[in-house]
Amino acid sequence: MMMLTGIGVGIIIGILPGLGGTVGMAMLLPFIYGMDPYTGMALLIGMAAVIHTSDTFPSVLIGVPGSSGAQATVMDGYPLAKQGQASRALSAAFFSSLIGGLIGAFVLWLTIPIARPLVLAFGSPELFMLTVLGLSMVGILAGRRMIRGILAAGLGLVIGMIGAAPTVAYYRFTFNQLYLWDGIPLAVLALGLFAVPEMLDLVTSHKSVAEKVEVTGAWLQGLKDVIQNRWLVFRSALIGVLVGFTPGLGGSVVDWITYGLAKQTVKDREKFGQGDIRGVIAPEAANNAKEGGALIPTLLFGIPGSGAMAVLLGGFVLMGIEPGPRMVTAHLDVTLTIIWTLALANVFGATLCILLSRYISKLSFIPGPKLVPYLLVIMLVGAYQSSRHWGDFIAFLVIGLLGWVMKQLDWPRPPFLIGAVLAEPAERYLWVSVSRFGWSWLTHPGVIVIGLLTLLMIFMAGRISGSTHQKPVDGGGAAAEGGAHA
Amino acid sequence: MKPKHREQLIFMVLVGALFAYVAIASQGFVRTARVFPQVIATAMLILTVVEIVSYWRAVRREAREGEGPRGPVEEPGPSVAEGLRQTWPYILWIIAYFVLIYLVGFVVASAVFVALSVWLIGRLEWYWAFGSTVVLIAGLLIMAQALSLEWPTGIWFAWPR
Repeated sequence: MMMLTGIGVGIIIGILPGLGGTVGMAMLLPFIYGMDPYTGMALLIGMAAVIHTSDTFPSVLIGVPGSSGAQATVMDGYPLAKQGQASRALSAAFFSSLIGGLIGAFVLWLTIPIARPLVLAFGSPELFMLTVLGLSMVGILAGRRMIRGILAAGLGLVIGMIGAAPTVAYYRFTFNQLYLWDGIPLAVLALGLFAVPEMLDLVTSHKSVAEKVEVTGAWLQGLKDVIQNRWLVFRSALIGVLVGFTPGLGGSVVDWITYGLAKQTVKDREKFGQGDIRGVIAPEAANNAKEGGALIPTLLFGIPGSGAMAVLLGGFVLMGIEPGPRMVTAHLDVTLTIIWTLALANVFGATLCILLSRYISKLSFIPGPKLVPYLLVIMLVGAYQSSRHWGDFIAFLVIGLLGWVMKQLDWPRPPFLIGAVLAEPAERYLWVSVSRFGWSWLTHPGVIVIGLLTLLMIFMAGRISGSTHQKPVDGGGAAAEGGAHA
Repeated sequence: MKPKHREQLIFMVLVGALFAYVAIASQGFVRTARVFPQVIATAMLILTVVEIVSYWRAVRREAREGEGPRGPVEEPGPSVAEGLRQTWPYILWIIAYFVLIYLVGFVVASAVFVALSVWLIGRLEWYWAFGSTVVLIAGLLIMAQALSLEWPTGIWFAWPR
């Protein structure tokens, strides 16, 4: 019963742009006081498991990511909606989410006894290199405007530097504003950057999100797409587990990594960013699978793999459980409850979303001026929950106008968000690496391997940008207009 | 020079100015907090200059020789000024909504904003406009109860919290 309640809440939170897993987990935390660990975990895990399933609705239908893990879905999901294929994109996303979630739960079950040595092998140098790997994705996402993509990521890095420095108790670029002490919340940044430009364009063009009539029964096509691309689903899910498993990376990059890899490795990629179903399948399989991976360090070592997992740790403490090696001995029953809940919630969540998709798809045919006011109110509710400060509204509008200008001038916005997400971990891990190892950390085997992988990414990005005339990968409307999104 | 080319260059200069500000302002930080912003800002400033110069040259080459093999310097589409001419009433409308939130609080302001927007701009029938607004506000209040949501109250009255 609690799992179903969690699933219901998770679906609603996923549908509302800006309310991601961390906010959802934080919202449910007050309710688990006094619950036994099995009930409490069912509620929390049930919610966390389906957020990345239902967050596909806003990503596909209105071009706004429902949560940070659904940013890349916008790039091809939204163009598909504009071509009248919203049901196909949604069903493909739900089926791949379902499979990804089940793979995540299975890997969690499989790796619990053997994960410890691997997790302990990742030090700050390797984690820093992983953030560099994440940043290298901007080259792929910027299309032929690679320098603009890097500059947009630089802007994001600057925004990410606002507030307390991660390495020392020192506040930067706060202009004596209390709101800026904690930096600009990611939810506000993502909503402003992608939602405001899209809403302004929708309301001025007097168009609906979808430009063609929806094909009846198209949701079955989504299932066929997933079966046809089963290896992409499987591969993306495994990458999702790996990224989730790596503490500190979080869900904000998993979708970009899998999207970037899918774009680089599949055949006939010309339509990526303009409505290629594989651009929906890859990130959706990964972001659900990520939850299983993120639970591994959280359960075994008390190391949260994402923001939501950090709040989950608080939930453990509230229920009197200390995460650690005892989770596979004394508390094995709780661990197995979590794994089962994760698997079942993915099945129930995806099934519910598939059943609802036909009805919710109709949202995309409502003309912009009729839809935008409701969306704006819901987005402001989401934005305000970030820090519950008026600054959330102001930042939402200012960043929104910046996003609008960037969209008008064909500056890619996803690199901006990636820069903002990775600024803090990049600075922290770099500082810890240099303080601990001097510059000898550059010779660590893990660092060299990840470094080579990064160089390979940059090389591939250069080849893609040199061989195609693609426009930058952008969000929302730009995606659907032949460009490509957050 | 086309308006979009000019706007692009102005935007690049503003981006460069921001990186320059970050590089200069971070000099006053303590050492540990200074290194990362300075390295990033300096690198980005150099890249901005490279992009400005290469863009300027590409624009001049296009003016002289026509479109190159990699397509036009700028993708076709409205300039910022053209876009702003269409968009500014809606931006002002949103700012007015924010002012209303400040005065009467989020819920009342949202009810007024949504009802008037979908009625006047969206041209929805008045009963649909006001009916759907009631449903939205009821949904928000229920959600606020269930999920402990909060929103700002106004300076004129503080209902509902």
